[in-house]
Amino acid sequence: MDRTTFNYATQSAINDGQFEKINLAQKYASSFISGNPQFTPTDLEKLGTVGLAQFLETVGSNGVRFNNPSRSDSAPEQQQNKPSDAISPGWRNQRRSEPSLLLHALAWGITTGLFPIFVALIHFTILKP
Amino acid sequence: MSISFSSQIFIIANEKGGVGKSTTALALIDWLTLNSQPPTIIQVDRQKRLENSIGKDVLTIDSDPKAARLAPELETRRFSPMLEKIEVSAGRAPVIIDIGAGEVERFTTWAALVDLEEEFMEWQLSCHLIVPFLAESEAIRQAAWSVKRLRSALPQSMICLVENQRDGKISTLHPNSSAAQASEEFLAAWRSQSIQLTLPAIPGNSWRWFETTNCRFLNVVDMTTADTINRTGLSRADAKIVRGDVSQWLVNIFDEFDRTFGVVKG
Repeated sequence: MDRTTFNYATQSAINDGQFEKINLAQKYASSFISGNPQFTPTDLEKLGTVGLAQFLETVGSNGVRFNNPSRSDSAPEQQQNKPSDAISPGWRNQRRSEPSLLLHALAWGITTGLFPIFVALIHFTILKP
Repeated sequence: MSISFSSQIFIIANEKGGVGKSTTALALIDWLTLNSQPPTIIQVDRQKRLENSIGKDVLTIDSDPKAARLAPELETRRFSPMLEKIEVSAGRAPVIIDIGAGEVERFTTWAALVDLEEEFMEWQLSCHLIVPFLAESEAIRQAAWSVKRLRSALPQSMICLVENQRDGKISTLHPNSSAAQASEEFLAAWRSQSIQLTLPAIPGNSWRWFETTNCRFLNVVDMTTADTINRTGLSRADAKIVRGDVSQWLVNIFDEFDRTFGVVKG
């Protein structure tokens, strides 16, 4: 094989490969959009940059939100008005403000200080009138 | 093609296995063949990967670790056929020597014993030490050690460090990672006195489908779709994809060789 034949053969093989990547990308995008359970994300690896771009373009042109494919039927404009929908809340809902230790200490101090007085008061007014 | 490689020796080595030595050797063999200079091939490896891919023309020096322990002085004799093969090829064809994992020490001991450097000078051969490594600390340490050992036996040789990007690029590693630190600590000193070469990752790991069938890179380019399907067992679409990936990779690595070894495309 000489250089010219090599250049021709490699270019032909590269073009064939890219054509198949684009075809497969469209097929995978259809599977993804329709929620086909046979769709496997790891299959996308073999598509390379060209195929992945085609996959994203096909999926994007169908108005599918990547974080939540089931919402593809709702109006895209409405989703765009709520950017927070696209972000997972994560642990945000579980957050609570930290308690003030000073207030806690004061409350406990007063309670424990008043407790013997309260007991004594009960003892002298109710039990020993 | 502007350079004749008939008076050049390419020694591919790294004491660590699985860093891409045989892949580099196979690509280099195909590149030289494509440039109408098919090389003489010598392999010091028990795995015989080159022999399996290229055929019986490869001189394989098989290692015997048990014999090496019992009689190290006799064990070095097994390298002698290599010297005869190099002498016959000197000035006629380039020579590629693929040194397998764990063989660098024995090879360099033998090279020092027979004064291989002097033989190279007598036969007017220039030597390239090609050392592939991955973005992994042990591979980098072993690469630096291999360069040091080989350079001590062959001080006039030119070092060529090959960064195999199969598992990632060193430039994208975290500076505190062990691999990045090993690269700074062990390879920085050699970088200034060596040629740098990049072995890009083969997209989608597509080469594995052909590697298991002992195939050469040039065979993949030359294959029809039907041949590819028969050889790999893949569907028509997948067969075309893997052949295209390997072809693209081969174009890239041949460009690297052209740039590194100064070949003008024509």
